[in-house]
Amino acid sequence: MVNLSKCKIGKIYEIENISNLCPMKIKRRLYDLGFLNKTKIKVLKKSLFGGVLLLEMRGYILSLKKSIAVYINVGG
Amino acid sequence: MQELKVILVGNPNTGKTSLFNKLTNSNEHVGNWHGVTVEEKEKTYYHKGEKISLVDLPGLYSLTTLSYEENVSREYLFKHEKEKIINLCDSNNIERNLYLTLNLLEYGFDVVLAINQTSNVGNKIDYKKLSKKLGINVVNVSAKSGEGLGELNDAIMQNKRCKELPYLKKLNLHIIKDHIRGYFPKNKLDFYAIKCFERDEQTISSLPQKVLEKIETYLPENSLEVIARLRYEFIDEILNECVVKTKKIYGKSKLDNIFLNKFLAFPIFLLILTGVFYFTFFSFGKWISDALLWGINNLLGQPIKDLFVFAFGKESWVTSLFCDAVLGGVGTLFSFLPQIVLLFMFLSILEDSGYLARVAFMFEDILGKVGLSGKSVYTILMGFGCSSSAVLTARNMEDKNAKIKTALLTPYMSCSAKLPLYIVIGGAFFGAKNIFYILFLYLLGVLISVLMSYIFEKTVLKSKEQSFILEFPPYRGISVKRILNVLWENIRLFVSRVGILLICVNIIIWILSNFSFSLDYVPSSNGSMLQKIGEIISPIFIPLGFGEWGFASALIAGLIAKEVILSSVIMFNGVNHGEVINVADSLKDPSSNIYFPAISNVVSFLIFTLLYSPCVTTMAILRKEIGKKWTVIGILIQFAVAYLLSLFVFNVINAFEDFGLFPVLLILLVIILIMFSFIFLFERLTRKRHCEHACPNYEKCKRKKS
Repeated sequence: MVNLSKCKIGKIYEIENISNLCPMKIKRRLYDLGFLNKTKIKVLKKSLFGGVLLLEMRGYILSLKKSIAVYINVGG
Repeated sequence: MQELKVILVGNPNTGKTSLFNKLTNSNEHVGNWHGVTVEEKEKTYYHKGEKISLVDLPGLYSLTTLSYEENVSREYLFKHEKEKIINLCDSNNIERNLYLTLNLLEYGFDVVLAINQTSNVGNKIDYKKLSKKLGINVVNVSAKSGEGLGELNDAIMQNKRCKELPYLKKLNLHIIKDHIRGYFPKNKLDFYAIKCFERDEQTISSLPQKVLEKIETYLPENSLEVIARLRYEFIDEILNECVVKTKKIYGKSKLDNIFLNKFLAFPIFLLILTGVFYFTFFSFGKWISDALLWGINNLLGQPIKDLFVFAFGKESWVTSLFCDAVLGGVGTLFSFLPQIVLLFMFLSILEDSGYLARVAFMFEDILGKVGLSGKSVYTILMGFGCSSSAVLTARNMEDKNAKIKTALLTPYMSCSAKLPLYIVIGGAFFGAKNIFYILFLYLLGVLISVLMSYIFEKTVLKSKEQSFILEFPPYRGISVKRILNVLWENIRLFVSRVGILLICVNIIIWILSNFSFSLDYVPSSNGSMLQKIGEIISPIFIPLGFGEWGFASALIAGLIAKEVILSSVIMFNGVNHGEVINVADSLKDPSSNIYFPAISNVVSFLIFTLLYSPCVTTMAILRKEIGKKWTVIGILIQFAVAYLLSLFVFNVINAFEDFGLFPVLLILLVIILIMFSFIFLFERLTRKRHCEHACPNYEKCKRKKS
């Protein structure tokens, strides 16, 4: 299990859970956006200094800060 | 006749405002970007004799909110729970969009689902089946072309409510409902029971501790995920039955390999920006502008001027009023219409194309460090247009301090009203090199605002980290029709602003600068009211190199609207009226009221006008958005920053001229070194002692919280 910020670019992972350290408000929003167990997810790009990730999941793309991505645990 | 109220709700960037414009035949600002609409807008229209009042709300992801604009929508919806709702979804991003639909249906809203067909290729949706599945009307519309609006309006008139959502049976809501009965409206118990599952702060805070503890025993530990999962499972079921999905990923594009390429991204961004500047200010835009100025002066101005001279004589105040206030002041401003309109056009192209979201992505790293977010790029860009409307975009921010910070930084951005001033005054002294000076002023504005934000972040306005969940809209081509629409709208706004507001302001300033307190006509402003007022204030500008009354008066007048600074300069110098015909020449003429002896004075004045306190419209909006206290503080800080920086630049340039380049550079270097060592020391002394959980190296870190 690794967190999303350490994922390889271009590889498909499966979400396992969202860490309990994640603030409630953010956690709720992540679930609302569909970051659920078993959801497939792929990191498309990282920004120049790696502070933001560009993700593909559930048929759309969105970007997420690394500081939030660390809460999302995924498995290969 | 009874009016039917309809509220437009949907995910960000699904085309709500486009639909709103189409339905009500209006022209609200739209863009390919989330969070363009920041407050509710209402307008009425008629369908089959029925009066319908439509409300456009900022975008929502769900009914639990994170940012200010989302809260606006949520509060509005809860206040108007009986009204009809149009829920707009993007056909190509239907999976995520339906999540909000389920949220709305759970609450018991009366929803019509409108599915926006954004492109011909994409998901194929069986609307009849979808309608049956959800128990509500589902209509296929195109917000761009206006197809399907008739059906949508018909659907609004019908009454078809969702009876039940099958997935809710899997939750033991009735137990929760038993416990919270009495704390919420009877017919909304289902909804608030669900909110308990979501552990919604607003819901939980209205329950007593005793009840909360009871409920807690019934909730599964990961209740948040349980409810979200049930919704997504139901959505998957819907998609399987009603939608043939394409393989295409919403928002994904090969173009991003170029625009977001590690090495190319920033050069491309700079290239685009420089291109926009060059095209607007120095090639195409300037040509039309010059032609327009020539036309105004020679074809329109000269004959009327001759007529006035013939009728009233050259020395009469009537001739002066027309020549200075109307022809000189307003006429000159009018000639900038092409450039300002072009600037707005480029801003809207950047926004519409979807490139802006990419820019936000690129700058998140840097802006995040100063307590802002990539989203602030939008605010900065809007600030280049008009500060007062840019302030409103601060509502995108998630917490109060970030909102105040973003709102306070907008006035540092060089708004389009200041542009004519740079072109006229800079052009007079720098000639063709003026492009670099103008670019420098724009960058200076951005730099100062980022710097101020950093200082705020480190001192009084520390903000929580913005979560920065940003969706990537697909790239979209821009239609000629849309460009023409933007051009026309901005021409209209500009003409009405200059033609009505600025003419009035100019006439008032002309009167103040041409009549004494005893109401005698005093040509060339000798002993005029404005001169007397200006003279009281002007001494404070002596250290900055513009201590004459004319500058002080123009700057004060500029608080009404920034364009007035230039028109005042033209009026005070009596261009058109006196012997000197050319503005540029008058600025170099020692007998003028506004006279620049050297380059240092020019640069100092331009920097001051770039940064000093915003116009009254912006002040009023700031006050509304962030309160009186912060508005006053912000304005004072702005004045101080402008003053100190102008002072600094003025003296440095003068020193260059007196002592030569080398010694001055050396002294500056020493000062900078000292400053940095202070900052370094300060950082060292105040650094955080603990490593935070959010830190990726937390597990290995030695500074772990014990």
